[in-house]
Amino acid sequence: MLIARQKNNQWYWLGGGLAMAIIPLWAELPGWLLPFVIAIYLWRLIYPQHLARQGKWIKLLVVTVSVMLLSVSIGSIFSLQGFVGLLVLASSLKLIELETRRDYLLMVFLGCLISACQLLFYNSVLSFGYTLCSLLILHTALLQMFINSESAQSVKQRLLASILKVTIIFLQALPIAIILFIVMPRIGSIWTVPINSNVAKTGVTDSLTAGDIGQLNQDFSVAMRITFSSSAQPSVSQMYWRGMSLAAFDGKTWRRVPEAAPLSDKLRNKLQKVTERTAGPLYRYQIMQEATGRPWLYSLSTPIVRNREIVQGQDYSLSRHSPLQRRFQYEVTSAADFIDNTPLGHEQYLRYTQLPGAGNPQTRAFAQQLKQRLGSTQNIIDFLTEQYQHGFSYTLSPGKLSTENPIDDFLFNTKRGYCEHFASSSAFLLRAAGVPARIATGYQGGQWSTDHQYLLVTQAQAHAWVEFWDEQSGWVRWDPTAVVAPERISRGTSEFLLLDGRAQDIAALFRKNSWVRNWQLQWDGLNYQWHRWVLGYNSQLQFQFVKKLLGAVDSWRIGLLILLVLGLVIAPLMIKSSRKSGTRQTDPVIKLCHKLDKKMAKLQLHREPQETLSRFLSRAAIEQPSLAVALRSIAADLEKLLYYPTSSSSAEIATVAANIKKLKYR
Amino acid sequence: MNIVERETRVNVNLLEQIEASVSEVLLGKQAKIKLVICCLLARGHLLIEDLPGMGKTTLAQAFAEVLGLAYNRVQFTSDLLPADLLGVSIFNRQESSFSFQQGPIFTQLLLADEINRTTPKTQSALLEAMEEQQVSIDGKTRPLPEPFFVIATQNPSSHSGTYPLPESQLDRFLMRIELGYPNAAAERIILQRLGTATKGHRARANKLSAIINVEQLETLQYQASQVSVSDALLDYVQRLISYSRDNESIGCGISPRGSLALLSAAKAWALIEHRDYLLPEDIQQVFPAVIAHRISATGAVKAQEAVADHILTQVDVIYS
Amino acid sequence: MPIHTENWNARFINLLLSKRKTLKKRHQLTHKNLFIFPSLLGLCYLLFIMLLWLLGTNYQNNLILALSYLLISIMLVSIFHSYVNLQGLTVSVAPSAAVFCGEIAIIPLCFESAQQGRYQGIKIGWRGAPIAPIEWGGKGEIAATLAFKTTVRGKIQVPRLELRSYYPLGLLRCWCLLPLDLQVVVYPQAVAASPIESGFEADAEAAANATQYRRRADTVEFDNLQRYQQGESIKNIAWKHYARSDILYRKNSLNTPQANTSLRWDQYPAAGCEQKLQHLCFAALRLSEQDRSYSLTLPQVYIEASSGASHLQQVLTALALCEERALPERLNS
Repeated sequence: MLIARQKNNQWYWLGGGLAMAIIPLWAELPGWLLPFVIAIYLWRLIYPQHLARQGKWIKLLVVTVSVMLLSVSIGSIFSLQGFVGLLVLASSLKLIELETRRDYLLMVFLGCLISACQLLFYNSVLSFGYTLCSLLILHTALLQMFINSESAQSVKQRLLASILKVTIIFLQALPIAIILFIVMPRIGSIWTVPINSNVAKTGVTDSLTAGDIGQLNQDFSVAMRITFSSSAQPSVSQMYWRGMSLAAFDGKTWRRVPEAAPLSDKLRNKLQKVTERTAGPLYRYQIMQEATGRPWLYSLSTPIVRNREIVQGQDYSLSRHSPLQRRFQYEVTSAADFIDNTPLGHEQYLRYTQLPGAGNPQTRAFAQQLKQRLGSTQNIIDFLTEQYQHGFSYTLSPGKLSTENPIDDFLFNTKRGYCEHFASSSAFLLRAAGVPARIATGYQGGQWSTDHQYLLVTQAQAHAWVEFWDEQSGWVRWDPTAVVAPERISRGTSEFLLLDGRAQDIAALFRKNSWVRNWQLQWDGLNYQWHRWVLGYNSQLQFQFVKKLLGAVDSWRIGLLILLVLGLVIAPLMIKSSRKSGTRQTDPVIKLCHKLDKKMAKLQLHREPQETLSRFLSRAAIEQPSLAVALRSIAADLEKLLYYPTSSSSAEIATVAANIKKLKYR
Repeated sequence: MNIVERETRVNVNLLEQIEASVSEVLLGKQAKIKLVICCLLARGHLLIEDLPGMGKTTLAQAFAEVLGLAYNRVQFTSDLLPADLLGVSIFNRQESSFSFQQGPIFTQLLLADEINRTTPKTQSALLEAMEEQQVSIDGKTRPLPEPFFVIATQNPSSHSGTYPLPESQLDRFLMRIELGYPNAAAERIILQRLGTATKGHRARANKLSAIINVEQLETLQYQASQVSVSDALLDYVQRLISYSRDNESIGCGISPRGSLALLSAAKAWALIEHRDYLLPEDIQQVFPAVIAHRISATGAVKAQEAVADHILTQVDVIYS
Repeated sequence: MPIHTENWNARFINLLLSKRKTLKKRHQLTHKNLFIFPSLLGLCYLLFIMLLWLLGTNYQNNLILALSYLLISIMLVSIFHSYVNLQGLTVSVAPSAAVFCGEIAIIPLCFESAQQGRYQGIKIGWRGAPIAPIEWGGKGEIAATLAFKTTVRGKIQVPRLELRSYYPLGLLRCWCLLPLDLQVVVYPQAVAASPIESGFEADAEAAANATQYRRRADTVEFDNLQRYQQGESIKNIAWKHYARSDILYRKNSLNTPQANTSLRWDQYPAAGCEQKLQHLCFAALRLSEQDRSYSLTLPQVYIEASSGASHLQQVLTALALCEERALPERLNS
């Protein structure tokens, strides 16, 4: 009866741990698997013994059918999802015939493995904490097997005690694990593995269509985080995180023109030189970009990178060879005042003034008018600025524009819109006036973390602006949105939303509350550090960190560090246990006697058990006449300490100890 | 404190005188005489086990003389009844009442000769008196005089016609010693004396004069009890005892009474050695005499003492 | 004591143990007598950690790598936990009652803990087979017994006591092999002698007794006859009845005090050494059951005639301890 109950208890721990391990994976697995697993759990719970007695053929049938179902619904069984799915399936089916001790132990391992697999899909702090919790539960299940099963303790007490024990073990293991994590060398992939390839494509796209979306969704998920290592930093309103330029326009949509050639070496070297000097506004920063599923990267104007994975286009935009399937971290240096006024080639000129043959006639006419009236590019820009400041307004829900002539509609009719509208129409207008222009997309601004450690850029800060060609200054950035709604730039989108008074988003409403906002920033701070130091801890970072920590990267230093941490963890345990056993001699005089005996043993003189100190030492004095005086005095002193009625003082003990130490043997 | 110390010194010299004068009578047995003195100072009773004619009676008699104690000798025979030892109530016709006629036990030093020749009944009467320091007859309790010592002698148990003392009663004796044969030199003197002395040397004992009186003896006993014992030595005593209890080859372990006896005897030995504190040597000196008869009921004295010595060699003096 | 030398592991342990031979009644578990080695589960755990590490390395997943480091640290830490669990425990053994060969000796053990219920999941048993769990029941000191199957007579040293624990996580086996200072006195098995082995040809003493009996036979009244039992004195056998019925009867005499019976080594000339001891044992038990007085004569030992439980014990012990070497070679007659 008792044994049965205990077995049940163990089962609860194991079942709980397994369930904890499986639950977070449900999103990654086929929909039918979760109900299937739940059904098995329930069945097992209601009829603990029933399942085990099913016939062999029924079991085999269930296994075959479910594995086939899995392979059909996942597609390939040899993918990551397939692997995890199989694990979950195996663990659940094993529950059917969980009978022996070995099954139980196997299940614990399966649970640990499934729990670890969760980290292949999710890697936030919370997921890791969750995995640790489920491992804790599974280890508690393990502990249940090896503790006293006596009835003196109540079940509750025992559970508490086992949880406590496992927690202690985990807490003691944690520092050692951290040190191992820090110092153990990283080696790259040993063989190629199927990678989880369905990262959702988010962030800025390589096309821009003004007016086909009535309302802009506000997405506050993180786009990237930036740490400045240079003391010079641009103000937030001047932070334009430029991704790429869109040059091709078909009347509705701006598209990226694939760059034929990378940035010429000549220009590159020139830029390099600029970044090497010390004077002038030079920004050095590190960007940690979230996985986007796209290859391009973001930076401030005229960047230079030393990363071989990154290529730089002629328009100074950065991109990687492969799409970002995971978070990517890169170092950039930007020289803000670098001017590239290399004259545009004919081909380039055509590309940047290219317009579709027809459409938006009103705008075209207006542009021609401007060109004739104002002449210089700068005058046109000034005029447009003035025009935008009066009569145009910024809104995130501008409504749809006419499909025929959207730019005409916007400029002369609705006059309401957001960055895409302004950028798109301005670029069109400039091109129509014969000024080479393009649209640049990326992010604008950012939010400093509470400790001002890093800048957080969210998807809501996605932005588009215009770049036009000037013969003296080269490509010049011009942001018409900033003209229309300077608040949008200076305060950030979320606040602008509130000002706009049209915020329906509850999340945005919450941002009004300062402590929630604070908490959120703190939380993001933690996440940032997590990404930077834990997830992004690669061999390069490791080398730097270990060098900083230990002074140099030597195997002996590392070994010593590991031993030190191990010692620190173990010392309290050992001290506690040695106190408990209580066999240690605590009397200092008795300890002295021990010492003396050891010393005399080196002289080949062994005290018989029944031999008193004085007798032993006088015998020793005869055998070692050179020590006779010292030995007699030690004998007298020690006997006095041991047997005289007066209490022994520590000074006397110290004297005798010193005398014993002085005994020299030849 | 000073006064006591001075007194001790004087008295301890007296002890040496006692030893000297007794050993004049019992030649070549200084060590045993010292043990007897030790036994007296520890207020314990003594059992002498040896073959007839080794000087047991002489020893007892000499002690009675030098200590100035009232002395009685009872020869234990198989027909000795408890009443012969303790005394009887006799009806007095003149006073028409019972009057108690004290037996030989009402003395300060009793020599119980050949105690194992008498019946267990009489043995236990004596042993009860030894333990209780009083005698209960006809429902009335009569205290024995102070001090009260018993020196009992017994023949080796293998001799015929003996009722060996059970362990429980052996335990009442603080020490058991064996006199043993005198050495050659002492034997020679004994033989020579036969020529000079007319009545043998048992007669000589009578001539010994008292060296101390009862008060002095009691002071000495008090001083012996005041000898200080350090924790280290208490540990040693405990180690000895627990070894005797844990070891299978030892018939029965030392009882708490035995450990008390060991400690008080050792203290008395320390006093004889002119010390007011105990040393492990004191314990080791008295150990065989105090312990041998307590650890196994049967067997020869020599074998038992060998066991006691074995315990000493197995237990470390300083630490466990 | 069976010594397992089948595998290297046992041989290695034997090598280690050979230095620690002192038999003791009381052992305290310390770092000197405790061994720790990964259990089978622990080896699986290590494999599992390797798997995780490979997974983490291949997927360049720092979190899975961290997990594998955590698990290996857990294993490291649990080494100390398993040591602390057994350390300080005191095991003592009390003498066991003597048994007959083939019987099971019950060895009383005592476990003292320095702290209540601190020791978890300990199993005890003879070397190589620790099966009995210790149930502390919340007490600081508990008594347990272990059965020890006896196969030969004599003073038998018990095998090493093994304490084993897989606490805390079952990954490590922490165990110790304690040489107990305990010898069990194993009496010979009591086996009745067949009449042939008994060998009725009487030696000189028996012949003398027989003559004595014959002289008195006419005056002694026998009120009944009983079946002759092995080990009884042959001088009470009713030979007349034997001649008639071929069954050995013993004459129960009422008016003669039962004479001392002597058990002698040479009583069973036809039997081997061990067999002789077995028969003597049987005879002693039989006589003791009838509360009769008997003596024992062995080549080196003589025990005076007596009766009672302690006498029986003395006799049986003498039989148990009878040394093979001291026995005279069996006569090939």
